[in-house]
Amino acid sequence: MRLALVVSVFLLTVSIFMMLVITVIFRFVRTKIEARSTAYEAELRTMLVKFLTEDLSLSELQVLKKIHSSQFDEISEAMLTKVKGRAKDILVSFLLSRGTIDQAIQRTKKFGCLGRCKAAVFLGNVGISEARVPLESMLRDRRREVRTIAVRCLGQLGKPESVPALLAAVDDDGHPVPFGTVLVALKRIGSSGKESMKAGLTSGGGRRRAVIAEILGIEGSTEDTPDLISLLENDPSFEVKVRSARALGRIGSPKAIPSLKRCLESDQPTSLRIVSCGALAAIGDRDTVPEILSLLNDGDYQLARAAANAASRMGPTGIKHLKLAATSNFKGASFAKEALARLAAQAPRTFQD
Amino acid sequence: MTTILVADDDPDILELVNYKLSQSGYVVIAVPDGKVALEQAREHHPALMILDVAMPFHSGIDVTLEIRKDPDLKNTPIILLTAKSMEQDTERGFAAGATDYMTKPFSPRELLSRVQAVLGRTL
Amino acid sequence: MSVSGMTPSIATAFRVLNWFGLSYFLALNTIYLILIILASVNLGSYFRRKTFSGFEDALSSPATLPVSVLMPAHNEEAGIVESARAVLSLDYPQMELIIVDDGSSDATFEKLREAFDLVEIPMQIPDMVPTLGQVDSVHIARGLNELTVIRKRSVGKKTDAVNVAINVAKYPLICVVDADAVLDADALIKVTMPFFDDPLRVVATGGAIRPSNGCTAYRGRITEVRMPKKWLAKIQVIEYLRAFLLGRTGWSKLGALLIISGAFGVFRKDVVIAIGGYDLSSIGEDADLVARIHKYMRGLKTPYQVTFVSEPVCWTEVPENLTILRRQRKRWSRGLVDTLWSNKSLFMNPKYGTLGLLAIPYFLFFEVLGPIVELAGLFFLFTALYFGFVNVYFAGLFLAVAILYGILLSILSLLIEEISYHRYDKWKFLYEAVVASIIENFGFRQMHAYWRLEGVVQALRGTNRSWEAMPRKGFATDQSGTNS
Repeated sequence: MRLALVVSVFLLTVSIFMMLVITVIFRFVRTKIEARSTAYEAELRTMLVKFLTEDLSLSELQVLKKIHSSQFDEISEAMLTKVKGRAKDILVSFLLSRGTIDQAIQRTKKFGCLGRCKAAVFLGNVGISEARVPLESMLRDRRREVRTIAVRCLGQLGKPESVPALLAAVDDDGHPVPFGTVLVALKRIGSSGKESMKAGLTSGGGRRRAVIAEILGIEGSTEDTPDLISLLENDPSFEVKVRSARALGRIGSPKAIPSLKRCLESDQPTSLRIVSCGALAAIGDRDTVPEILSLLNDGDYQLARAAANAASRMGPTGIKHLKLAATSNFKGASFAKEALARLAAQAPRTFQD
Repeated sequence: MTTILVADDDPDILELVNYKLSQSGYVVIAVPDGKVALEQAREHHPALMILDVAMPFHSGIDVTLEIRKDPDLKNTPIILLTAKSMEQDTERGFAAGATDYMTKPFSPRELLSRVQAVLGRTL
Repeated sequence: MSVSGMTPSIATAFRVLNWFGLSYFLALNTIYLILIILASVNLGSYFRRKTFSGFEDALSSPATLPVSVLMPAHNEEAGIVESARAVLSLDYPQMELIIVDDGSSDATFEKLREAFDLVEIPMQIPDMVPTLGQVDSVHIARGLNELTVIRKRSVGKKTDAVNVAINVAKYPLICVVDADAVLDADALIKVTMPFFDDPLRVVATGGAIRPSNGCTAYRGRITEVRMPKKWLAKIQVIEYLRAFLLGRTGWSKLGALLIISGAFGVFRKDVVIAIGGYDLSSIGEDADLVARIHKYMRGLKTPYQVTFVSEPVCWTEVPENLTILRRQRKRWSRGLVDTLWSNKSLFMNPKYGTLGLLAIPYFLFFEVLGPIVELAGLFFLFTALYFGFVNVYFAGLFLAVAILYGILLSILSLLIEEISYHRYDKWKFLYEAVVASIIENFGFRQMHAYWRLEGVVQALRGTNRSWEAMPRKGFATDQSGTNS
């Protein structure tokens, strides 16, 4: 026993000492590297900036020895995300000439997860169409981080051709990707991908239709209203219905009013009723005000409050009805009062001076 | 000589803007954060300020608000540089009194023409 | 071991006790080591993601859930406006701030009204979660700031103030923040990232907390991270480093995170409402809430996650004098006992997985009984030494192992901090941290064990808890911000 204790004391002391040494070395090396690289970086940055503003030609740049360092690659890659237009074209053609882009495409198949992530990010930043296929195959990568990054980078690339692959990724239970990231990617691709998105409505699972409904609300126009109405009315998934209702509100076509009104009825789930209330307010047809305000007397607190707030956003008619409701002896009068007070507080103040 | 104050905490962007504007004949004061930006603006009275929105100490919007309050500087035109993802900031930026804004990633050439346009309007 | 003379029965008793002490000690430290290893695995994946964090995505995505930030305040006139401004200017797409002025007797409310141009609105507050204190008035800010201030009568409980705020909150996520906590600009987005990545599973997340003493702050943000001046606070810096690494990251990896600090945590509102909000009679309300969330979610039989975000994003002032520190630690210890007691159905219950089988027994055997064993061990060792049951050499070795193990854990935490977040960039920090990790073991550790024991005793007796004020010193360079 005593021996065991002596050995432990010895081992503990040694490991404490070793860990201290590692910590100190780590910090020392880090400080040194940082100091050296900031000094060096400033110099390289100036050269890169000159090159990008066309004060230094490619041949003049390539003569300089310093640019043949990994650090120059790093700062040029960082610069990719910060410029656009002519400066970005110059940068991309420079990276192409160095073979950096081909290397990155190779690296998307590398074993190390970090390497694959880095390659994907780089390709997304470069934004050349050759990167689309390798990035799409990364959507089925075995690691979640890599898949997420591939989604994001396809968004940055912005090619409408990748819409089907992204939609398939949303539905893929074996290789899940974050819903929100797919949304951002599709939003970045924008209206050019709308047709392939609508084509995706006919197949696939609920998550896919939820994504499509959400994007149509952002990128869509009045001609997408019928598709969204049919989702709102017929889709089996509650998630899809809520998103379609919200999207219809954002688009704002009065054609959606009858379907949205049906969603206000008391047999519908509360959150769908709340969202439909907001959507009707966003469309802003004053004839819907009485129906919205009838929800003030609903037993659900959140719905009543949402109805009052919706009416307060519907111009003079909404306010007139709210004032009536506030002075009545309705159960929901207090919500009407609150909404009016909020409206008054948010109105811009008239300055005296 | 026209003096322009540029504030951004990203050294790449700061250097790029600085170089591009200096090459075009402006005197550029490049600063890394909002606090120094205010100090330098009060000292040098620049003809134009280009401010990043997300900076340490004072955001570009805070600096804009301060400048608009300062009797000596309140007419200085201000261009805000915002990251694309923070577009709601532009709303706040204009409310604070910004003259114009640009989103990142940005094109140096476009920036130059905006600077010239804004200065042309005010001079 | 050497036992000299005396009656064999007493000698045997001591031998048994020694063996017990040693095996307890070994078990505890093995658990610590396992937790540290788990934590470093977690940190590894954090670093893989760091470069590709996707915060930009979350900031611009329509799928990012809006957050209601809830800030209970009781006599916080000194810093409340600064704190409110700091929260309202966090990088986050959509959020509101709800401040509950819980019966302050100072100018907390007047300061807010002046700064944000508050107007009173009539509002009917629902009772989705139970509350006690009567609400006197509700105020909102004019203009663009989404700020609501609720004035209510205090019943002496912070939890009551938070519950009122939960009832008023309009967004699907709630974030509970202490009025004196200093948040980094990206604190909210970092801590809500797990919700964005996996919206169907994540129900609660918590962030790492560091002492703010000694740091410089400017307009409600930490600008320079420094070591505090007082040694008592320096020791706590090491303690926090170690505790968050040991206590949270590792447990989170095991799916058995029990404590989300009350100073900064984010929860799904529907889940919090379903379990009835904070328990107004609980003493350790933070742990109690998380324990009940686990219980509720396991009951639903759907996969869920309670995640710890190990990146330090929240800074809070820690006590710099013994009286207040003692009060704080007693309360923590009491809270833990109280939580374990009121959630005793979790104990060794296979239905609750790693939480019931590992985390709860760990907290009971090592966190609650730890101080008793430690103090008793010391007592027996010295008695045995006095009566000559063991010799000085053995006692010294035994103590040395215990102390060295403690130091080892501290230094390991220090190393991991150095490699990972690296928030302290002065060389002086390293030197002071090492000294603090050593001197902590002589005096502070024993005192702390005693305080925890006091808390356990108090919990077993049962007394009430109320707002416990801690005088704030604030930052040396608060407004002027001379350190750039």
